[in-house]
Amino acid sequence: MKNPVVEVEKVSFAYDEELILEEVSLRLFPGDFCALIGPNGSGKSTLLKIMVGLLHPQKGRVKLFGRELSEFREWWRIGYVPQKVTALVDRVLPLTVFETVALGLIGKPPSLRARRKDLVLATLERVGLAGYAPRLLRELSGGQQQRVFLARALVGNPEVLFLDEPTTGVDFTAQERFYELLGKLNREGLTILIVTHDIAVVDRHVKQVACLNRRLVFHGEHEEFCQNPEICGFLPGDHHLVGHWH
Amino acid sequence: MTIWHYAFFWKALVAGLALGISAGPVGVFLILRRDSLLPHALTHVAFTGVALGLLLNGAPLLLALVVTVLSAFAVMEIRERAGIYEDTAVGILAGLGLALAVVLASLARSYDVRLLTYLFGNILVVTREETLLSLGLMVFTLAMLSRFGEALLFVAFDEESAQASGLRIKVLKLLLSALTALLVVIGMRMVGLLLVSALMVIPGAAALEVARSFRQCLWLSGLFGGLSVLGGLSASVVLDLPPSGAIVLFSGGFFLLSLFARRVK
Repeated sequence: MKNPVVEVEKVSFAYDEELILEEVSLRLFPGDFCALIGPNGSGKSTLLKIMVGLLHPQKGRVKLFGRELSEFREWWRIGYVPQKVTALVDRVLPLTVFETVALGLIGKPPSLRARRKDLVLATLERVGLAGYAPRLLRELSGGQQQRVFLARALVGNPEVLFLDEPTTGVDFTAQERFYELLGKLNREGLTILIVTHDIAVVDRHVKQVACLNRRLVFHGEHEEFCQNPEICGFLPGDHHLVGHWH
Repeated sequence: MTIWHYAFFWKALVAGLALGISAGPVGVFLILRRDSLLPHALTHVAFTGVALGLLLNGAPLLLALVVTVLSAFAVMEIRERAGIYEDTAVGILAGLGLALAVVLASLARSYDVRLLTYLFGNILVVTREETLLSLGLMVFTLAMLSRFGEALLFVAFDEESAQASGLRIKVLKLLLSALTALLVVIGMRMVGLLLVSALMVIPGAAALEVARSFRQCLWLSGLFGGLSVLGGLSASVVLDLPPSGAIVLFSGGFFLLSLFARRVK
């Protein structure tokens, strides 16, 4: 059996007094393409931030590639696309697409940084933005900006990609293209965990679904999820849930 | 004999150019971090160091340097640990810095021309040592930005992703704070405490308006800073104006031109 890429074991997390995650355990294996879903306030983004070391759980442990997060140093093996990336792009910053993608190589091994130009251009081609390198990021559409941020996460050739609601504020067509691209990357061997509130959008692309509602309610194959009306039918007003769906 | 024949003018020009060229790029990072008021607050703290130096009959420049660097680090810690708004921390630092300076200056009975020299600066009286210090600071600043500039940009632009990439965010923030503090203290002898923050922020703001890449923005900010010193210093000699004011007004001119250039593009 393959070794897990990510191991979350009985993780609990609270902001002040409010418990956000309670004894959550989850494993991702190489080649997985998992959607982490749940209602607002269910702790999806919090769990993702814990996995990439942005937040530290009060209880439980997290391992990346078999190493405790506190000892993990091989950050080039992971890629991360944060929430609402288009909001980061303002009218003031004159950042080109090339410069934005190249940021993903900072802290990466010197062998990668030495091929900076080639890697950036090749990654832009991979996400369908060949020829966009000299353009200003602020002049692109939301969907194109989204793919630039994906390229930034991919340029270091990571083995696992974490995405936090990456298509928020992007139109439906651009979302579809984005998820098709993720599907292609997954078929090429990339492990992907994507946080989303809209299972309908990623439905056709993901292999696994993890359903979170402070605790892990379900984690399994996508088909199994769809055949489980109690879980698949997550509806507003369900007394088992906190918050609501969008 | 023209002004170009006087050694004091050359010293002023070299020291000023060194300051202008290094202050502009650092200012760009401060603006992107929404932290352009930090150098202004640090000038107030540097004033405390100067007053302390006068009170103790010590070296005002050195004491200002120590106090300012430590305060820059302290304000960063306060922001992170006390959970207060960033501009509130800067406001508190500026107020307390000035209040302490006023008290210390009063105790030192030094409300005189020495204090005014630091408040308004006089680039035409910089010494050979101060000129060399400015050149050293320029080399150090540009070397740091060349090595860590891209990482500083990553932190300013998208701190969360920078942290998830394994970057040492706190060290990078400390570096930017230290560079800001150094420039404030060295700059106060030339353009004065009241105007040094302007020379850090205005050329950077002008460059951000017209640049077509971040790399170009850094070059332009240094260029605008250097040209502001050159223009302001020349105007001050020709028109008998205070050099510090003339230098900052020149940088303001570049900002207005940049705004105009962006609008007509």
